[in-house]
Amino acid sequence: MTESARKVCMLGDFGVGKTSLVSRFVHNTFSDKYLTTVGVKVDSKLVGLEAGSKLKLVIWDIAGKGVLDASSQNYLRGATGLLLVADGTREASLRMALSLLMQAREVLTDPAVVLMVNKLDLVDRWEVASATLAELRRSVPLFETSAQTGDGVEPAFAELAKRLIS
Amino acid sequence: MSDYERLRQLLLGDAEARLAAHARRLEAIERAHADIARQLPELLRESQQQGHTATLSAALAVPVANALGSAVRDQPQTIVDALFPVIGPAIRKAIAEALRDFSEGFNRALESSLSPRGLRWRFEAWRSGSSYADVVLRHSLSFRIDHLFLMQRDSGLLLLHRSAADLAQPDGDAIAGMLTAIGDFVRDSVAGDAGLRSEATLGAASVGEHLLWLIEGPRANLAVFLRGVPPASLRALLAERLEHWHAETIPAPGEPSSGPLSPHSDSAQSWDLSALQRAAHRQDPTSSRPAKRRWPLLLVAIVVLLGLGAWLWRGWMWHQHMTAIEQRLRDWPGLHLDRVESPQVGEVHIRGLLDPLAEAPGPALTEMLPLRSIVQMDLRGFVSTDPPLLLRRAEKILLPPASVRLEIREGRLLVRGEADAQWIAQIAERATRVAGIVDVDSSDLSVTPDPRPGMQAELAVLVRRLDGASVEFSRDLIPDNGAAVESILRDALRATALAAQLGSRLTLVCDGYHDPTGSVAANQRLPAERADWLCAALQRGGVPSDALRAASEAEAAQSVLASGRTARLRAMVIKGARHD
Repeated sequence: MTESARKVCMLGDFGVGKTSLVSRFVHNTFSDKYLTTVGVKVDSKLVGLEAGSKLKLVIWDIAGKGVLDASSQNYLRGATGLLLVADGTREASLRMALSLLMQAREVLTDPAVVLMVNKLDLVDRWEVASATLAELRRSVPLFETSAQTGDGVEPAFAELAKRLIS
Repeated sequence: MSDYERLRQLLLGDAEARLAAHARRLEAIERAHADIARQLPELLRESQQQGHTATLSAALAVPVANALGSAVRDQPQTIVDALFPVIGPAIRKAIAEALRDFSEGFNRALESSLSPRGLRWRFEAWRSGSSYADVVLRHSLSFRIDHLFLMQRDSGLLLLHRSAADLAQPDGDAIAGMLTAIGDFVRDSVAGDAGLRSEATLGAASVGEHLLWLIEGPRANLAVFLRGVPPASLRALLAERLEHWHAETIPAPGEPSSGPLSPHSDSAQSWDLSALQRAAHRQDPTSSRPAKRRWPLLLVAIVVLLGLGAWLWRGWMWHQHMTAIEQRLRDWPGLHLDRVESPQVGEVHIRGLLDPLAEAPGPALTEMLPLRSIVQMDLRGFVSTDPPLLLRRAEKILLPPASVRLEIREGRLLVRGEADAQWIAQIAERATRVAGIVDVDSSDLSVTPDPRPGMQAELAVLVRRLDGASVEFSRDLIPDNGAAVESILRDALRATALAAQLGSRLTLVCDGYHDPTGSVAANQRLPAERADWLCAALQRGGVPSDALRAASEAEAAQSVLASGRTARLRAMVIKGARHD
């Protein structure tokens, strides 16, 4: 086990597509039922970096909640990266993702963050304004993704991996 | 400046200047020392920030250790108070681990040592010369470590992963993460209050034949997937390896936790699954004392063999008793043996027939059997033709005289010796009453010569001598001659004996007399008294009282006609009247 590994947590409101994004990105080891029982599901993905090296992302898909409770905070321990997921068709989910980021920063010290605005395949029904997205891009790497088609998923994870080793 | 001052300046100026410089230096040092207490924390922080952590740690190691020693010595209570929150959970955890291991070991020992399977394994170990632990491990205590995960405690990131060679490699990172998450989940679910959160951990879980052990450390946790029945020493060994790993990989302050281990590093080498399994077998207490472990088995074997030997010996002895009893009963005169049974050791049932004239075998059997043996006899009566019984029956019916000897030979009664003619004449007829006698042989029986005529002649002489024999009295009841009384007594004794042998009855009548002199009253009294005196003297000498009688009054009346100071006998024999 020569490659490095980083713990990454996915945060976002219920139904934004976190689990679908992970499923698109990795080969599932565990059943999704863990999300409703234990409250988290862990998968891993080896990501190639530009320098030719590789980084293993251990992705903790934390069940969607509006507030990080004690269990969720336990799951965040030791994470060095955050994948914030919002649903483009629900503007409230974007605010929720940013709120979760604020709460997570109370537990984690300077985590690498990537924001994924999901459901690009339903872009004609998006509530999130382009201006809002442009504004957000100034402070956080933002990717418009579709778990349905896979658009933007790999670049988002690659960006997070890049930020984790920098 | 006065002269004195100038002179002083010249003589002591240099010294005073040096003294003043020293005083200033001393003040500066005192000021610096006063600032040290304020500056020391800041200086320590700066030293750490400037990368001198190792140097600082080395410099502080000795004084900190000395200070801690002094504090333990001088202020133990303060140290105890400070360490209490740490020591309490550690002790509780250690006790819980020890109890769990003890319980597992006890359960395994009970299950394996007292069961028939355990005894069979002990016998196999004894027979093959192997240790009991080897046999147990070979049969059922074998185990295998399928997977081993060493993972960071907080993040769940995988530090090391080992899987058995023949198993597919799982996604160790995901499994380590999920195990960490599930551990957190269980701890959050079980431990309600904050005080228990750090102690309540998921230690083990089992699914089917698989067992999961989770061992926690301060910075890393260990998860092991097993199959089979691992010895308790394995868990201790894993905990020990985890402690070693922590000791060897102490991160410097401020440095991140350990990353993944190189598979060729010393730490990684110590987690080799095969080596762990072998080490656990070696450390298993059940395999470290092979010599002692044979004792219980040998003891049990000796006790069993002794018990078996005693049981066999007792059975053999009882069989010997039964054989002897049966032989004795078959030879028992007057007993026809149907069956001798022994439903159990110490109990005998006898069925058969017993002649009423035969001796009961019970007392003899009791002497032959061990104490507290039970003898149950079902014996019915019958007439035995056994020679001893025939002889006994013949003696009872024939009443042979002492000079006759009876013998039974093949059913014939042999009569030998001498007997009177009358008994001989009756024997043939009386022998027919003896059951079992088929014939009587009295050819060797002779008639005893008849002594009666001689005896009758002697008796007649004695009667004649006794009849009229008298005793003379000098006066009243004083005899003249004692020899006369003794002579009468000898004759009387012989005569009564002969009369008895001849079946006759001898009667001696005592008469008394008086002379004409003396008073009338004395003469009236003296005859009766002299007659009584003679009867009493004979009776004292041994003559039966029923053979003696004083003369009646009518007979005494005639005494007046006679005269003399005498007492006289009259003897009479009545033939055929025997004394009984």
